[in-house]
Amino acid sequence: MHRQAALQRISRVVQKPLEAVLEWKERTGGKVMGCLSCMPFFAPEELVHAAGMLPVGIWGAEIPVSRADAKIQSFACSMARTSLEMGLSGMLGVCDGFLFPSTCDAFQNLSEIWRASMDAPCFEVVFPKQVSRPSAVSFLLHQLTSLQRDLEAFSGVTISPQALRRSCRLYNENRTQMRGLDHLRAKDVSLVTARQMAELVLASSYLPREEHTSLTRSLLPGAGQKETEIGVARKPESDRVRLLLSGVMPRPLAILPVLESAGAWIVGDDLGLGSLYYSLDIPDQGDPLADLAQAYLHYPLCSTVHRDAGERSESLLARARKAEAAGVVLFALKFCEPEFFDYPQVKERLESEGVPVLLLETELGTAETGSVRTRVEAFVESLRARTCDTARARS
Amino acid sequence: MAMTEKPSVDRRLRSYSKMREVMAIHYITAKNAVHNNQRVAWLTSGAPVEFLHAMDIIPVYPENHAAMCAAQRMALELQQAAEERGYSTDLCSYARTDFGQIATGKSPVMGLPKPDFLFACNNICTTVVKWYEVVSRVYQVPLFVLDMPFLHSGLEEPIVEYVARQMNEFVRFLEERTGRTFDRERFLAVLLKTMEAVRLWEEILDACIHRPSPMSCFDAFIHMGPIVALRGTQECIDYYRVLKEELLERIQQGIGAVPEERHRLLWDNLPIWFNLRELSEKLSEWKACLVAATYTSSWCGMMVPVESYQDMDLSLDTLFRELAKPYLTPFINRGFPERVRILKEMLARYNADGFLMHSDRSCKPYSLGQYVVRDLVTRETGIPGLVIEADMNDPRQYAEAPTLNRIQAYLESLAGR
Repeated sequence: MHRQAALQRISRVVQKPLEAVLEWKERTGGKVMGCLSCMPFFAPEELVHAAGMLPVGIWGAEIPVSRADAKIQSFACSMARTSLEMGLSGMLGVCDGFLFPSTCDAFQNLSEIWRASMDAPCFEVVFPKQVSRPSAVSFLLHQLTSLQRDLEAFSGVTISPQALRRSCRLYNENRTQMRGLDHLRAKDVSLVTARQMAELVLASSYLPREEHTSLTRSLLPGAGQKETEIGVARKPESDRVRLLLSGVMPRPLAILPVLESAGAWIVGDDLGLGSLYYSLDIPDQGDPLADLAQAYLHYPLCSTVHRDAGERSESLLARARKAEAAGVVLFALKFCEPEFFDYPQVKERLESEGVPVLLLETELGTAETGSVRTRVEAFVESLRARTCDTARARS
Repeated sequence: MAMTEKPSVDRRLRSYSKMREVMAIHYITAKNAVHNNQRVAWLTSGAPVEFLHAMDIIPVYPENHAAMCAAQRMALELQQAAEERGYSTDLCSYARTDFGQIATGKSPVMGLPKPDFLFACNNICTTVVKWYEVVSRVYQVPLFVLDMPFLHSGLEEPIVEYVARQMNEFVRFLEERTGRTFDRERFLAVLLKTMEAVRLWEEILDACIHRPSPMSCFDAFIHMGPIVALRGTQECIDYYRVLKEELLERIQQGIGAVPEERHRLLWDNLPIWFNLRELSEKLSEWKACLVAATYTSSWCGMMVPVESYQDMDLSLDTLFRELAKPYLTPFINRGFPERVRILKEMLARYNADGFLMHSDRSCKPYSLGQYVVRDLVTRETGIPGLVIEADMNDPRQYAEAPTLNRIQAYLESLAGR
């Protein structure tokens, strides 16, 4: 596919995600499984896929909350609240069932609210919270086995190890392509914008994997592509301030162009809606279910999983150094406990090593970027000034 | 009959001063641990403390401490100290209170002693894992997370097995840190003490089945310190024997916690620690008594059939599996159908004619979805419930006057039924 056509398709999918899902459903007659958590990607998508279903991440929406107010309090994050609003207002009618992979207390209770409020079947999979001790391995394997049974009963499809292996490979191939693109964009600012990259990752939540992989391939530099086709006018690279993004998700996505137009160049991230998702493949070793479990246990750190209390700051610092980032922008949705508990010490640690951190607290459904713009511009300017000072001091 | 009571009766429990003494000794012991060559562990309110007692490690409860700070009107200042250091006002107010006392060393007991290690059990929330990660980085001490999966459905065998295996891992963790061997007999002895205390606590709470109720939940909230922080010790048992006697005496004399008790209400969630007295006085004035709470009852039912173990397999594995069950099943670790069942059962048991649900901004797993639970309970029992918005430790999140108006209107509607 032509690059521009691919970008248009991705944009369209992100704007009208459920339309793409409906297309698939009408074409295949298969069942759709809505996956709900602050990290919908934590749902074992490969397992859902192997049962002949389409796993669809429900990422909340830029909508006001009205019906959901009667069922979930205002101190839940906007991701949980707008997702419930979507469900209650019938926007998720395309989903045949819902899967809740455990992450945080808000989504844990959301699944209980969901069950009590809607007719579609709900499935929960509670993952071990600690992942460094042997007890976690057998428990996780049990949870996945039990989920497999539930999915089989729901879909009427028996998941053979071969089918699960095929699904794992399909998803691995998809992640490999996204990693490839991510790797290149850190070298070539003109390849994709930060927003395009985030939209690409988001689109994977709604599209059949084969199509998504092919779209990703279309964005990789190839024959006959001209860099002028990219829509954003850019300053010379040397002018740009290298930034690393962290957190669960940079939403609303409209924040990303704000960063870039302020003069930032996104050279890497550890976002949930980003490299966390595609950084690791399912191993191809023995029993595919055991391989799925291994992948979960070895995921790069997410703030919702406990491994080593000191790991987040150190890995972020290492990442920043490797990417030669001048600063880090940490995105957190208001009321996100895992992120806000981490933030002060992450900031302290990184800044003690000369890497400034800017926290951007955002909410879905209240798209207000004015104050964010001012803060981002000031942050990028201060980094630029520091970089110049450092360069001057060196010379 | 309640109506024959003398209105001049002093309704404060005599045992209160004794309780303060017991808790003061607890904090003094912890503060002196370092001078007595004893190790200190910070742990969460739902963690199986029995392991620590069996290894002579002094347990310290930041949650209990934070509540004490709020009751003595110090919590806000401490929370603000945490906020100045970057912690969001949207984070749990217990955690913020704790970060504030760590940063400033201020509290009614001049701060908590430094921990040698941390022990977090997420059977009450996931928040404690994040909270203890912060503390672990501050003090550079190890953190053991005992993972108790949330029970969306029933208590399944593999979950029990998982927790029992982790208890084995915890024993190794303790042995490595102390250089001592875990002693099964000592552990059993501690378990027996826990069960004795839990039994007494249940009897104390059940005294409120009596009409008029000899104490209210406000008393129970204040007197729950020992069952949270001292279970597994003789002091805890001794104290609750005294309290139980006093309640039985009151029942005999027909003394109720609330003069002319008219409404009997159930309370859901943590108390509003900084507003206990005010709310208690208002409800009393309106002749409403809180006769039970899902919160205080969370420390009931911790029954491990140790006595009958004399004739049974006494292996630690068996014991750990039995211990895992009560620790996995507190109210807050259960799905909504189970919460509804428990609420219905409590309404019936305590003869309550209504229930107040505290939507606690700081406690998402307890609060989120309470409106749904309330509606289910009302649909199945016909008993109306009221949800009030507040916070256990942060006075800025509580609008007292409008809330009292709503409670008063609710009580009037109950009276009209």
